Amino acid sequence: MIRSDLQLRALLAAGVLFMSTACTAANLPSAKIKVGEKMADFTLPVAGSSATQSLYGQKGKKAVTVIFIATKCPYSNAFNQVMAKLAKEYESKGVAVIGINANKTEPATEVADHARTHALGFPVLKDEGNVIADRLGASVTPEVFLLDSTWTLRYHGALGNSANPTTHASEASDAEVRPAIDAILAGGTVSRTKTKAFGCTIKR
Amino acid sequence: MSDRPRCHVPSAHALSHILTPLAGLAMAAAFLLLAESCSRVPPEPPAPAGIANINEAGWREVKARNQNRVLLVNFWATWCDPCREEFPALVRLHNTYRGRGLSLVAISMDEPESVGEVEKFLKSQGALFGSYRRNFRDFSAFIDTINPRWGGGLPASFLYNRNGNLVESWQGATSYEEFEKAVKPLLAPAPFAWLGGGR
Repeated sequence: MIRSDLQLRALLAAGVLFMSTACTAANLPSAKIKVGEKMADFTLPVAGSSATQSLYGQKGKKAVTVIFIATKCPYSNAFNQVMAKLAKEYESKGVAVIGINANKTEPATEVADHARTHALGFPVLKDEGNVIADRLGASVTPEVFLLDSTWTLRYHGALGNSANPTTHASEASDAEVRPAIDAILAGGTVSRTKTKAFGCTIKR
Repeated sequence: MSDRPRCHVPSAHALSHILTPLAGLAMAAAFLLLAESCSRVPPEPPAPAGIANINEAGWREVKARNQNRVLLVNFWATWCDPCREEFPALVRLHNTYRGRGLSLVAISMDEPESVGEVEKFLKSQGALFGSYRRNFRDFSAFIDTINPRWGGGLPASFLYNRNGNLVESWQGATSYEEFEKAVKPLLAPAPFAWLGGGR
């Protein structure tokens, strides 16, 4: 009898704990993939085109930088040139950059125009219905998921912890992701594997 | 025979008939006043003059100042359209429930040069609550101080009960109804709600 009473109390306590956890976390999206885990393949349409592109289609690359971006978010836009420069500079080193736009408020044609206007120089895929954003738990633009050649997540977070990029374009930087890419290329360990990707919330 | 007026002294039994209902009424009134005073909440801390800077330590001070009140903190920026869209809901929520113990604090994540725009926007909204502007070096550290589960997207809002515990959080634009649904059960009852006049 005592045992069953204790069990009941334990169950009630666990229930209360679960409810409180569920309540506080209910509206905060969190990353579904953790550093060290392998990212599953996905295929998405290239914005403004009939072509599709898959993650595993980048086989042979030393690293793949997946960046969730936006067309209208001023914070994301402050990093357009940073992303374009990063993609150009590291292309010859075997690093691919893939942009993903998951904002339901930004149609594929607008995404394609945006990529062209800002000369991003890397493919931007349209994630209709936030399927991939939901799978990865992406919630912000810009937000980086950096993978190595085995599709293992090695870094997740900001391009750069830039203080004032929307008013000082020169302050927008890739200072967070760059050392992580360099570490992968050098066959070393990424020292800072996680930062906060401050910016606009992805519109779901 | 004396002409002195006769003074009628009621018996103890007769007195008890008069006093018992009076004492009962007095006790009931005292109980109701006590109940009302128990439901009262500490006054809202005065808002800082203008837009104050805030960092991790400042955030802890804001929380401490709002002890025993329900605290809703909103992170926003002038460049963030959904933030601007949801702002009237916050102003309305504060105006409606501040008397019942709701404190609201808005923290602008704008850059220093945008402080004029921040002030202009707050004025246009008629915001009477405390307003702050980020003044920290590291986004990751500050965001983790607020809540490690916050991804860093704007707008974001966090609701704390009167014990200072986080009870709800939102990332992305939130409606008045959603805020109210979470806030209302945490507040003190409306004054004399038992008369049927409270919200």
